Amino acid sequence: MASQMRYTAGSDDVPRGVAAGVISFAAIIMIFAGGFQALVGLSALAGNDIYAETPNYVFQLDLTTWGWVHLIVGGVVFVAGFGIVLGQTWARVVGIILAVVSAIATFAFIPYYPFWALVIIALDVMVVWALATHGTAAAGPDTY
Amino acid sequence: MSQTYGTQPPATEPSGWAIGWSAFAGIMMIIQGCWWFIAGLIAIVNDEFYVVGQEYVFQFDTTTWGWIHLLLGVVIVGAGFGIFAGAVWARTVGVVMAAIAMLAAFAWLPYYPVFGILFIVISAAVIWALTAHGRDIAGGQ
Repeated sequence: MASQMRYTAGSDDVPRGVAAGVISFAAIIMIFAGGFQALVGLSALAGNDIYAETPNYVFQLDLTTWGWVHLIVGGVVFVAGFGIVLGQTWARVVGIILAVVSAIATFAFIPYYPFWALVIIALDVMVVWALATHGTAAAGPDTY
Repeated sequence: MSQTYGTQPPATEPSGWAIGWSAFAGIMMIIQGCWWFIAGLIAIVNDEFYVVGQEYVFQFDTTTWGWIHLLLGVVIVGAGFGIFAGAVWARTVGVVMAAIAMLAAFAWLPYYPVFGILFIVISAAVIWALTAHGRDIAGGQ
């Protein structure tokens, strides 16, 4: 989304090398966040008893349903992370959207296992920060 | 960064850097608004989900808190999209909303600390992004 706003590479404050580094950071964090979330989903699907019982909870989906949600969202984030590593510009916009989806879904999952959820949300926020603040700079032509 | 490129004249166009920070703030507001909505929905649908000690000065009815959360969530999401429109008012509203959200989350925290902490941290990030970097964009107008 930021890449669609008015932007000229020459007016940017951030050296392109720094921006490229931050984008790499975002990619690696996405790979971890996606991997973590997929693991959370797998543990749910495996029917483990590690997740808390949450009586009286409006988002009390079947644990299998939660498992698939996390496995799919996590898997897509994981793949998009590699997309950014490969220099795909589309993956940056997709990465922000995916991080938002992941953060919202994981918030509803907090009562089941708060610490895993908090870790995933923290990584999602880092991804949004890195891609929003440095995505356009790295995408610009190499003018420096 | 300003040392290396300090010879540049003041930007008349919003820099990509400043736009990025505003985008970050807007996205964080959208995320947080959705969270408030979820937290409010839980309180309205499930009376017994949230637990609090017996004596608490801000111990409103759970449903009352639920509606407060729900409405705040909608307003915050709206303000978040306003940031993307680049409006100066949205920046001010964003800071004010984040401050209100922070206060409300603090008072509400005993009901569900993990949610409360997340709200406060994200609100602080929004305020920082908008106050420290929002002016860059306004200066270009």
